[in-house]
Amino acid sequence: MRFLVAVIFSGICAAPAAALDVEFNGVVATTCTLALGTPGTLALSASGTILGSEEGVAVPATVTILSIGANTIDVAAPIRISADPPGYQAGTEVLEVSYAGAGGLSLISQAYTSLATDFPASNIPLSVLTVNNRITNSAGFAAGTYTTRTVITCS
Amino acid sequence: MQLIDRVRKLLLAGCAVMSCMTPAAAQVCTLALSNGGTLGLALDGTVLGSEEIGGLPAAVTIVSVGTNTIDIDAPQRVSGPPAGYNTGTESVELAYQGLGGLAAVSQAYTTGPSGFTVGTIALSVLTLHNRIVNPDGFAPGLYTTRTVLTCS
Repeated sequence: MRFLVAVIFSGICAAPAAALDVEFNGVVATTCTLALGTPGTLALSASGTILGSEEGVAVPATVTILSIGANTIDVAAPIRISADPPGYQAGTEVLEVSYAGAGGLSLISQAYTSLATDFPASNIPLSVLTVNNRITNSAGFAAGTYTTRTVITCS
Repeated sequence: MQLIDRVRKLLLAGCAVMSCMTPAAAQVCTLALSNGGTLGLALDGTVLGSEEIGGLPAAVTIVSVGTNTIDIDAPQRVSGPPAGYNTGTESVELAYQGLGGLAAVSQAYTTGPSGFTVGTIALSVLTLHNRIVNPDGFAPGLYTTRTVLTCS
């Protein structure tokens, strides 16, 4: 009888292993975001015929891009949005844009062009696109401010 | 009269056994899920984790009597990879932090199994985080990670 009682209690004493599954869920949505990292600046070339972001102390613009899903980045043709400085001969100018990617965009590279361009962006983490602008004018430049703009769209 | 005396002695003996066995009989370890976790995408697109914006940790309640061991398996992604997702560069990580009687328990993010010993504690909470790190980013879709806790 004592043995029986002891056996019964021993059975109760055996603590079974307890297991628990803990799950985490997350949904990643299709998205594409663009953000301006730094705007660019323009400087005059030694020959006086190019005002560009790769001349002298000028710097390119940087844009950060995060893409999830199948997206397309459109880069519009660059335009000059500042008024003509007095004496400037706008008829002979050419505006051009070039760009190169880094990180998830490292395969992206576009030589200077005056046309609109685009490239596909699929699943990439936040990556940087470096954009250069330049105004080429064989007639030279008048004193004043020159501002160019390139519109980038993700869709 | 002899029979009554015999039964009384047996009951006393039984009580002695019960008393002796009480500490062992009270060996307890329970795990209960308070809430599951959610994963949010980091701003740079390389981390999908419960500490990112929109993410929430999971909470597990633990009661332990006696000395028990909590084993925590390496976390894993249990959902199928969304189309276009590069699984080759991902790592699934787990971190946790205890409260109450588990206040001394803390584990930084790790991809491996881990665990800790726990003595007698009242109902206490273990907060768990999961994250998927992928330098190649994420494809659209559902991601589910799982961490298995065992108490023995």
